[in-house]
Amino acid sequence: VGIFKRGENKKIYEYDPDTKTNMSKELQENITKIKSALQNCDDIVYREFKVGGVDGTKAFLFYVDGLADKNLIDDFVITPIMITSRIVKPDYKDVLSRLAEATKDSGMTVGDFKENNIVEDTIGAILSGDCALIIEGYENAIIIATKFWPARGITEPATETVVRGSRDGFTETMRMNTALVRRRIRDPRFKIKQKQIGKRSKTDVAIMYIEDIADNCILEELYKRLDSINIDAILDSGYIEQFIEENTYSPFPQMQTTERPDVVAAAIYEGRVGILVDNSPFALIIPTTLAAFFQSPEDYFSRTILSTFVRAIRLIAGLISVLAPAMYIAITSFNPGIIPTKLALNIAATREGVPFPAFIEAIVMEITFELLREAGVRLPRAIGSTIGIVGGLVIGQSAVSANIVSPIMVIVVAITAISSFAIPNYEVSAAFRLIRFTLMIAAAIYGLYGIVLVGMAVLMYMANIKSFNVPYLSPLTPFNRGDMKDLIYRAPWKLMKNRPLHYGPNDKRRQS
Amino acid sequence: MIKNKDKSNFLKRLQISLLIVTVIFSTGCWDKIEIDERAFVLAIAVDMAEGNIKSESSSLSGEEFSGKIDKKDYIKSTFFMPIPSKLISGSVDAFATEESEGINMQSAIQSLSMKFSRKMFFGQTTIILIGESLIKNEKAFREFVDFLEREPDMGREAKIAILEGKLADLKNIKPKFEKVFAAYAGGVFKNANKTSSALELPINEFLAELRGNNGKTVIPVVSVESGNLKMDKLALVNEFKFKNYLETKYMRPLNIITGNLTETTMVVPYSGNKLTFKTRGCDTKIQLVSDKDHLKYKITAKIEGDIDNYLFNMDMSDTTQLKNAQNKIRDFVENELKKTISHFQNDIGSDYLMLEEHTKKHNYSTYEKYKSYWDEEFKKASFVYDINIHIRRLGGVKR
Repeated sequence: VGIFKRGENKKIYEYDPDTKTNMSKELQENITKIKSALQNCDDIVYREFKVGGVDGTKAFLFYVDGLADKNLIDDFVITPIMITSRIVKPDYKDVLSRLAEATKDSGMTVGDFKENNIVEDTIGAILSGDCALIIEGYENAIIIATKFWPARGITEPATETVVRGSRDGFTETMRMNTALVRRRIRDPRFKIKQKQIGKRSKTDVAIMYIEDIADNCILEELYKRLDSINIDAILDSGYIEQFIEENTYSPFPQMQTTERPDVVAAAIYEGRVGILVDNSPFALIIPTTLAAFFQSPEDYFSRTILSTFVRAIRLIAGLISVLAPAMYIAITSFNPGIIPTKLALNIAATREGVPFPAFIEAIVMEITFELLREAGVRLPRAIGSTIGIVGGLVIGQSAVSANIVSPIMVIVVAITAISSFAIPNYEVSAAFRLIRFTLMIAAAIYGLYGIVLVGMAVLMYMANIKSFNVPYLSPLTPFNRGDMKDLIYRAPWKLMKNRPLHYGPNDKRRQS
Repeated sequence: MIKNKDKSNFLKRLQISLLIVTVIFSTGCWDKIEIDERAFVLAIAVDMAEGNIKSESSSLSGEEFSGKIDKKDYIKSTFFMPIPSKLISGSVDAFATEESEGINMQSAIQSLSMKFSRKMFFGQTTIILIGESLIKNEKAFREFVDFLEREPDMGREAKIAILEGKLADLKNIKPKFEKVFAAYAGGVFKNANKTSSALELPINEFLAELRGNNGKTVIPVVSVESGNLKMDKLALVNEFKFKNYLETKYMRPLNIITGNLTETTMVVPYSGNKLTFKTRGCDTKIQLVSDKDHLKYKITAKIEGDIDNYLFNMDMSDTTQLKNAQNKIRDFVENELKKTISHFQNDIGSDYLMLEEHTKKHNYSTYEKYKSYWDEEFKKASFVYDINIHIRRLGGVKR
């Protein structure tokens, strides 16, 4: 009962992101509200000063140390307001009476500011790196864009390197990333819509599309799904991806992720939608198909015949990475009749003395390889090469000479590994990894029949799932003849007059 | 009403799911035999057994319970199996030759399996040799064909031939270039096929001919001659009964008629010299011209090839000379065909030219008319020939 009686301890303001509290004309009241919300935040800088001399009007500045540009605030906000305002003539008193207007119009020499009369929004702006200026007798806070923090420079993307093509990749700063895309699309119809998602993190999310190309249904669906996210923090685009995808338990990625601004720009020109999330160098592209994961930006820069050849190689790599160990198991344990006699005898000879059945042998080797891969990813680069030596020489060579695995098994695992690296997208190659293990189990139980069975199930599943209502296997199923120009065969640019139609672009022609 | 519909839907689903489940359990890891636990049988040779039958073979054949089996009914088979590890390491004795007897193939395999650490596997079998006395024993031959049809692993591309002589002769063969007998025999078969001195007969074709074409099959014959395998004869089999041997000279014309001619060399007399014509390919069409009174066929053959040597003064760029040569070869081929057909009509008296199968496919009503006494009709049939010889002059030198 006593709790309710402690009137003197009652806070005049309690921060709640969902309420909207109006600012007041009383400077002290505003300051108290903001300070009470930001108490114990020692990285906040409070600066109280007077405009034009000791008897001038009181003003107050808030910003976060480290997120705001101190030099800009000192030189272009505080200096003009404190010092330069003293030389305003002819009527100094008159200026004081309309100080806020005078400050905005002729005081501060900064380009980007806006006004705000909600306390919660002002606090949000301060925490995102802007500087809030509050002036005695003026009920709006002036939010000055002073975001500046030490950021990683633009470097070549680590996961999607190309031989020919631009070398710039996204960074953790969203504004830099949108600039990289905007540089490639100088069209007023290219829109960047920003949202803040995350009740506490207030992460900026940018949705990028070209208004008259992108399909409105996809946009509407995207907004609907983004609005339904109700989480306190978004730390990476991976969070958004998992919230807005259709099939949560699918091994297949239903959104393309990329670190490359040229890939995002190309997708936007195809009528797709790009999503950038602050603090994440990975952009999301929706909708997507399986075929998109087998394409590299380079395919469009190099010559038609070469690109087609490389795409065919990638497709073969995909098949090998899924099938090779399973085929090895099926052939050695069930169906040795289907391979050439000499090969069969070769395998039989090399397997003599190996203590495990082919399935155990394959599983052991595949798991060893997965361990090597996982260890290699986490290790510092300097030690990374050691893993190669340990894995390749020690495990591979010694396991064979100790007669624990057959040399052909080592070859199979090596070819599988190389093939899985030839798939341009990491996530789809990870999905293939899972299917590979499933197929291996099926092959161990049913032989070739099992491979066919599971293979068909996977195909049926893939034909069934959708990414933002675009079937995953399009343009193969549903079949679209026009889009065959950019599947495995990459037609010359002169002939690709239409955008890919399975993404449903509003404006179908890209060459008139 | 609705309930009934639901029930039938449920039953339909149940049936389908049961079907799927049954299929899944029709095979499984219990069928698994690792590749190093199998004995690859690369070649099989079978003949009727001679002399004493081993006691375990006779007990496996069930003699004690079902009564004495005539010794003559036993078959003897030889299995040629490589030893993979020795083969890879380059050992001399890289293949094992195992013999076994039994009342049929299955019991022969079983009595051998009793002494074996590995499971015999026929999926890589490439050569099947049938002994002379087995092919002449209709019952045993039928049983052997039944084995070929039923063995699920049996490679469908394995080549079949008849072995003239005894099984024991095979032991004298010492392949010069190959380590394994099957590889050697396979090579001999392939070469014989290329030179049209014999033909390669895969199991698939063999079975198809036995079942279709009224059971008339032409099977190549091999013999062992001073440590080598020789393939130079054909055997004619009619409804599982051995009929006759066919000399090699009839092989080429037979290949022209059946459209199987590939590469062969004809030596044609030409203005006092010998002209060597090497065929590169042949396109044969057979047409039934009429079936009034008797059957009349037209054989159209287009044969293309090179002149292999012309040491004598022949100018290849001279079209008249070229035409003369072509005419000579045409006459030669026509003569060969005539003699072969008359050999089949008069000496053998049975249609091994696949005409019956051809007529059945293309002129069914005619076939229907004569099918009960086809061979008699075949003997009376007449033939017209339209032979086209084309000499290629690619790379010819004008002297």
